[in-house]
Amino acid sequence: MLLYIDPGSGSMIVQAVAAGFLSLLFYAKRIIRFIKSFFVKKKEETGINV
Amino acid sequence: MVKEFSSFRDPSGFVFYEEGKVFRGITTHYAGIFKQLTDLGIYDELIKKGLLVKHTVTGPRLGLSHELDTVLEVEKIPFVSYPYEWSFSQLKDAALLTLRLQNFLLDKKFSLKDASAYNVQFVHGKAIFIDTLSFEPSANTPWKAYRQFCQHFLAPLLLMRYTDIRCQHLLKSFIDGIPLDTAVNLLPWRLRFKPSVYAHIYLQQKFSARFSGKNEKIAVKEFSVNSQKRILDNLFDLVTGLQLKDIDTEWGDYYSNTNYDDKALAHKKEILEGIATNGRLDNVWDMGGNTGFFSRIFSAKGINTVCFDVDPVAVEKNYLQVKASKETNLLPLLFDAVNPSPGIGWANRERKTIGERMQPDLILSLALIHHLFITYNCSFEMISDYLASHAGLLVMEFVPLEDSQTQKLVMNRTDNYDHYNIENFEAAFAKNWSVTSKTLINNTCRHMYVLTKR
Repeated sequence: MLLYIDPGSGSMIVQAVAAGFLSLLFYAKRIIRFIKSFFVKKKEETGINV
Repeated sequence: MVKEFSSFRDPSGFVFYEEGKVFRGITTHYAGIFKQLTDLGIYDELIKKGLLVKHTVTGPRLGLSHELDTVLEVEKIPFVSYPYEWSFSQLKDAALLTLRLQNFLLDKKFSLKDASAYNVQFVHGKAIFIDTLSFEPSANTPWKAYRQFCQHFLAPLLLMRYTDIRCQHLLKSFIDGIPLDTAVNLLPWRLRFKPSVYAHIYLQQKFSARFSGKNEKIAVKEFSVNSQKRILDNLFDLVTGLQLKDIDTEWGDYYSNTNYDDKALAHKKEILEGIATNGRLDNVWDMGGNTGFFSRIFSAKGINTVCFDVDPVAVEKNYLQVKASKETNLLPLLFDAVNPSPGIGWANRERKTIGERMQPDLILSLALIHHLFITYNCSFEMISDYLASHAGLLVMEFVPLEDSQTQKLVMNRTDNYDHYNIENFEAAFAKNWSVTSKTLINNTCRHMYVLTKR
């Protein structure tokens, strides 16, 4: 039975749900970072952009 | 022409070897996409940024023209390594590279069709993507390789960080990454309260279970690039934030914990310097090299050196040093000499043993033999045969029974180790090796042998 299972479909759909959920988290983090930036000097980081 | 066995999964092409060079053949199936990527300058940009392995288009190869549209010669990787041999930070850097690449491709309306950790290798001290044919045009759909990314990178990193650093050995059993339900079972319960981990691991596992076995076609709605990037950004932040908490073990502080005084250490270095300078070596393996102190004598001379060690903390420290000093010829890897990386995957041939991947010019076996003999009961003959099956030149430091480090090993053992002596060692090794030089290391009772295979 297990061999007939397509494990991919759940992972496709979850991304839509996760994106919404993570957006909330993203904005919350952005507000925290904005407030923090008044007190803490920004560390130099290598981000996702290349 | 030898075809790379592990290429069989890819309908877009395959890797083959000819006269010591590496080629990648592209089938007609992928030819159109390859042309698009080339015309848009995507390959050039990625290669220039050091994210993708270099390739040049070559003429058609004999006997392959009916199968292939294009043939590329690709840069040779000095030593191919696998995720279960990487330290925590190596796996982390490979994960970040994969996310950066996907983020870059999304802007160009392309996407990674897989996110396998085996598509990343370490060259000149840095992670680099090696699968030139992993890119496909993207529509506004979720990332196909999302689950694979989580299984190959996120799950093992979380397990190494929050459960046990040795959880990475699971990757030897699960060739397509750690299943999410296994990760859920092994991770501490409290992690479900960390929102990002909840989304990528727990929620995804719930959805996979919910939709598995359903006999229905699932329509995936349009999914904007922005939404895709939100997920990538979050994964990137999550992975970046993962830090090993305590990186000290009994081996971590090895070099300040030996019985070498300054004079002995200087002499040992001098002997190795001589070998590194005069040896005409391209590739060296340091077996049990700890944090790479002696490996660096070779790598600093431009020799590709792999430093194997059984201790994940030593390998991690070594890699962090490679990064900090921007070293280009040293590759630290996790490897247990008494339980080496096996051949795994289809027919045990997809991922290979170290000997199937390469034969080095020289093996360093420094202060290793007493561990193999006393702790693991390997006879001199077994050790000699194993090393002789891998290289033609061997540098062996013999640590006798009276050495204080050996004494620590035998202290609480009841067996008699009188047969662990230099005469038996020389006699056993003489079957495979002839002695090129033998030097007593100053201020020690240890000998350094240079041995050449008969």
